[in-house]
Amino acid sequence: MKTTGNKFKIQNLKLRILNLFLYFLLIGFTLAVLYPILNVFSISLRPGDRLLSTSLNLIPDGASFHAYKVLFTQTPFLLWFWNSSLIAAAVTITGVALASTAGYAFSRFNFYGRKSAMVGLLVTQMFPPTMLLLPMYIMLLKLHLINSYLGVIVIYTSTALPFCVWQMKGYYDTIPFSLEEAARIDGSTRWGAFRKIVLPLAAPALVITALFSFMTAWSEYIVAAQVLQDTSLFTLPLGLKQFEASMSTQWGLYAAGSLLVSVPAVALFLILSRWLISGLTLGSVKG
Amino acid sequence: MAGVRLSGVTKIYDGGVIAAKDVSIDVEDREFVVLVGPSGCGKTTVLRMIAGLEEITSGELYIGDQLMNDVPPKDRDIAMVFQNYALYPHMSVHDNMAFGLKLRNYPKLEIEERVTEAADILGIRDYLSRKPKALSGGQRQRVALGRAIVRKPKVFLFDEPLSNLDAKMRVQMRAEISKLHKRLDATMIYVTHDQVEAMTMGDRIVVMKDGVVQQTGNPLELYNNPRNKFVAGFIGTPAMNFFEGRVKKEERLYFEGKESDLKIEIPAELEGKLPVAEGKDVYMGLRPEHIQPQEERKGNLRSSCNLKVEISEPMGNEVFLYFQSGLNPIVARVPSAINPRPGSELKMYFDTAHAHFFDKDKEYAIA
Repeated sequence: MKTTGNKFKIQNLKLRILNLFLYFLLIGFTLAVLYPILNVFSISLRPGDRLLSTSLNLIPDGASFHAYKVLFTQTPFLLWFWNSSLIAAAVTITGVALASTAGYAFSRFNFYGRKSAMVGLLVTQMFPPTMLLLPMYIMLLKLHLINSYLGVIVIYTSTALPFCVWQMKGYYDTIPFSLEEAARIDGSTRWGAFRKIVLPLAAPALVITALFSFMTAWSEYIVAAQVLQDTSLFTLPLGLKQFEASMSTQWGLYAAGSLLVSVPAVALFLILSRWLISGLTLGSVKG
Repeated sequence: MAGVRLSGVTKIYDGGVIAAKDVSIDVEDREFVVLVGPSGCGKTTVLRMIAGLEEITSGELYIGDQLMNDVPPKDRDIAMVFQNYALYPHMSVHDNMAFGLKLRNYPKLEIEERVTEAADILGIRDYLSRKPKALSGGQRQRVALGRAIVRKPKVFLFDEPLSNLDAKMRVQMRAEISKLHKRLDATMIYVTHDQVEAMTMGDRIVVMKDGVVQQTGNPLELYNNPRNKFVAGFIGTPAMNFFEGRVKKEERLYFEGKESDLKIEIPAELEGKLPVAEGKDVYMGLRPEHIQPQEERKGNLRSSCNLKVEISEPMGNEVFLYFQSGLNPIVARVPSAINPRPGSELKMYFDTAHAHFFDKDKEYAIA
């Protein structure tokens, strides 16, 4: 009995040490993630566009929200914000609409060329985006879509779609087909069964699709820089770049803008995360 | 309510697999018909064709007087209970049951009335606000039944609805479905691979094998007069004993076993039917209850054989005895008072008045 007790104590001690180590590791990672954000926040509050400082204070001496005020009143920040929102919303809606229906077709229907199309979608993901820049630019030029919202929307949507279609298809595969059959017998059309039964159950996959499409459009710089030339069409990443000059960068504005750009992305993630739950189909069929 | 008529219905899948071949079944209005057969026999395919979930390759399907081949499932006025329940997991029990009524734009008051009535019948009124995941298997299957009965459809279709339940729950639900049939007085088509379910529930049974209907009839008809060896072996538990051999004639007709030393006299009442089989290879079939030990010998038991008990399975009110005679396994159903030890020898009497004879090659019944 005594030996067993000792063994238990040793095991308990080992577990505690392991937990302690894990906590230190996690705290280290958290700090590594938080430090840049806090640093950017600190820069945004510093007077005089100073990037570097010897002070370790989070709130710098002479801190003010001057940069934020200037950002909203003396720069076209709100216009860029509007442009980015419009483009990201369009890409998200188009992405969700197309990926949810295309993924369903790939999951449920057996049509000619289905496998080739699936592989084709996967292959497009293997090229680096910069490699596609030139052909896409030429394509947009021929379609007279350079310097237009529609141009970037088309490119962002087509870039995000293959991944979204694949992951929607993968999720639909896990939803029992008999649920749709039951709905069709209950009085639904095939479309009705898709809308009322399958889509609500695919909420987690739809959320991933929406977030992925949104992020593809919201923070993208390279494509936007090629396609959008008129400053009134600039998106947030293009706009922020305006604050950077070869001789003097406006670091205060740059930092304030960067923080504000991340707010909608974080907010969207927090709002949508409540749908990111597993086990939605539990109880539907005998498992 | 309405009858269902399948006329020469065939289903061929892509790749040429024939799931159902020239199936003709006439289900009368308010009848309870059971489609039974082993896995892969095409019974579920036939049910799904009736539901409209599978296209019919050829043949005609009528529900009532209306040709249904090209009518979508939602317009067939049928309800189906699935083997895996297929409940909508994001809806409550109430909403699961009300879903079909809402789609058909029933007034809210009537929906409530029907859902409450069905919930009362099935004893699930306390669970109406729960989600399916919070229910047990039996309760889920009740909800699936409820979803079907609220609609008051012309025809109910059941696709092995009890397969996922434990043995006790299965017996209970079996009785409930039978009661439901009487109460609703509705046309029901029920698919199962369990011949006990078929025998106990069906007004009529359709036995299928390899996509072909083997025999249609009421349970006792199938049990007593099987049309072929497959039906004879499929219906009845334990299954019928088969002995391969030949019908020969000396003074009288007798059956001589091929792989055993059986020599069994054929009773006078069967002799008239068997001359066609004289000199032919046949299967003789005897149900387990027609092989009895000496003690239980009664009536017209003409032939006997000493057999060694291999396994004895006491069932409470009776015992199943398993023997081996040559290459032939034999099972007998005897009263529980007789419970010999495995290894002991018993003289068993064959009640050949109840014997069935089947053609060796084509396996159809001769007598």
